[in-house]
Amino acid sequence: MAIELAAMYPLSVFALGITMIVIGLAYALSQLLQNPAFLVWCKTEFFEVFVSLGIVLVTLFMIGFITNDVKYGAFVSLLPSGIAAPSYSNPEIGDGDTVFNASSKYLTNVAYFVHTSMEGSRAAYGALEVHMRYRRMPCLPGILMCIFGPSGFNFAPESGGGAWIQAMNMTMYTDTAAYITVLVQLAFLSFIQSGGFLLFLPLAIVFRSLPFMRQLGGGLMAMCIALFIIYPSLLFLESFFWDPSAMVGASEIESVESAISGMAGAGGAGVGMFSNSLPDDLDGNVWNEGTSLNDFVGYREVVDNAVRPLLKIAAVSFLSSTFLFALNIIAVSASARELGRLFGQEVDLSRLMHIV
Amino acid sequence: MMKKFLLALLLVSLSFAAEAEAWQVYSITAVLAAFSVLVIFYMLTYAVDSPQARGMAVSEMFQVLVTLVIIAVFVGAEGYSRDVLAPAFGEDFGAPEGYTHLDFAVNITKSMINYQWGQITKLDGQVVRPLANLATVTGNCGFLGFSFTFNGCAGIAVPSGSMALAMRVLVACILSLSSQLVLLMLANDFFFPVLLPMGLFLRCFHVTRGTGGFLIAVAVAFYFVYPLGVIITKGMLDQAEAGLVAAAGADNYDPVIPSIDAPNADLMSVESLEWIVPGDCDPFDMSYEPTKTMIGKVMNPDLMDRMIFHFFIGGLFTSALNLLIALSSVRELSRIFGTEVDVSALARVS
Repeated sequence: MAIELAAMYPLSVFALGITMIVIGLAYALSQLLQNPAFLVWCKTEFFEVFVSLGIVLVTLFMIGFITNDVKYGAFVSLLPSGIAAPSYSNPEIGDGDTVFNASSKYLTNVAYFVHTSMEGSRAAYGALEVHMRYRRMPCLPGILMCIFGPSGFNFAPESGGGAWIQAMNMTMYTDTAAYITVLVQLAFLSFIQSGGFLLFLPLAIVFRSLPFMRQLGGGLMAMCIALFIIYPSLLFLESFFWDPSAMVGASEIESVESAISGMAGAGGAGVGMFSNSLPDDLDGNVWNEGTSLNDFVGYREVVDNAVRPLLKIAAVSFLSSTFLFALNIIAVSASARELGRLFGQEVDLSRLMHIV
Repeated sequence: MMKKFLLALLLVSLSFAAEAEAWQVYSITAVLAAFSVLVIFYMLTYAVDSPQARGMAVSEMFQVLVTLVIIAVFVGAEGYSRDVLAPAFGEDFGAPEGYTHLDFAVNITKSMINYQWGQITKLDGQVVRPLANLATVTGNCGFLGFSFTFNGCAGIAVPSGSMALAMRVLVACILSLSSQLVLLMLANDFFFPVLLPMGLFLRCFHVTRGTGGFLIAVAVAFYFVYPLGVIITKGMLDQAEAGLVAAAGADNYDPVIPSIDAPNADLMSVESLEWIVPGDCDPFDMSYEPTKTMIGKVMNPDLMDRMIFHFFIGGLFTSALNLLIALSSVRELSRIFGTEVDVSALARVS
């Protein structure tokens, strides 16, 4: 954490001291003015400020527990025998990872998955684009007549690829939105983890005891608990049960990955070649070997091996990022609202959804 | 009060008596954990001598009891689905033993995706590719540097463009059904085994009752209501389909996809001494006839009407309807289990 959790304990006590001074001054003023309403307020707030401190200390303890003591491996061992532990490799989630680390790595894995989908869509798009623009010109009448001039007809046999290009455009759009959503979640998580929100807690102690500010103070506490404890815990929990790669199936992922890296075998060019990298011998591979389109990745091969699994992968990408994120935010906002009511203020975090 | 606790203990033991599934174990554990927390809280109220807090603890323990009843209802609902509904479906559809309503919904969605993919690839091979190919056929006549170009097939670009657009929409239908499939898998692997116990645990406490109620509502809506919606809308679709089959005849029911002939992709030379261009369009013929013929082929009602029925109604409309039903039930169930939660954000995302 950029802002140290340990620093919040003395800061909270300092906030308590400041509030006590304010209450003390108010008490002195009430004695001076002989105002009974003022006196009652001082007595009430004297009790409330300790309640605030208690809530803040418990919250800080819980945040410390979540941040440092809850380990991924301990939870994996709790899974029943029928449920396989998820296996993440981009990057791997270790047994010693804490809630924040594991959540962050889980989101990175989701981002990798969505990126694979984007890369696949882009590769298929590029391959189909090449197919679409390929033209042939047989001579008419008979091949011998060509020596007198370009007589005959020409055509683009695979120009139907344009239809699939539109479909790939759609999946790329979906994947891009999904990818940005995952990146936003990662940024959001690291923003929470940086600890900026922790400063709200000592502030809340002061606010909860000031006239007309109790609701704001309670709201700040509720927001801290919802964002620091509930949100990462939900992501942590999702990481045990929601591995998008496992949901799609290894064969379909492999199909797309091999489509990206090259699937035509010796002498052929992979789909990925057309959009992700351009090797020096592109001319040799595509144009100088043989006369048939089958010499490089076939149109049908692109559609069957890349486009079809990509449709499923795009659906999983969307649900893993956008839908689950919306669900998490709704759960966080519901808990913040309830906590806010308890502490003095109703907070509506659903507005965060609009920002996203 | 004692009777209520005895009933709770009975429910706990009954839940463990059957061969418990993961979600049941998690749910009971979650409720027991919540109960333990409340017991500790109850004891603390004696330590600080707070009758008000004690009353609150007792009231929350009552909520634990309510939560146990909810678990019992879910166990019953799942058992009913597995032991009564599934065999009834199995009798009608010849499904293997042990199928649940969710398995049916998953298989229905998979079979629809496979059918639609089959139709799309057929349309691609027989119409979209050859049509786009024909639209690009251009004739050249050249001699010693002079040349003429004939674009008699260029008009075919109009139906070809329409078919490309249609393909995009058809793929969107498959994408929509794929999302439905993933949501069903999500309900089976995540919503019910994870969110439900978590929601049950959270609903035992006053502060987190809203969150718990929402999570329970999501789990129930997507595990019970959503798959049932898929099955019911498929039944409605089948009924409507029966009318179409009766009208067209069983053999002619599938979309009639025309076959369009275009120059072969591997064609390098024409072994003929005549000016004949292979395929359904001759670029040297500058009349509108080939374009009109092609428009007639793709605008055929036997193709369009059936495609629209299978893809728009079977793909887009029913999947949107199922999701709408599930999300509407989330709103109502949240009210029952906890508090009202605004699910309009999810609906917009979907």
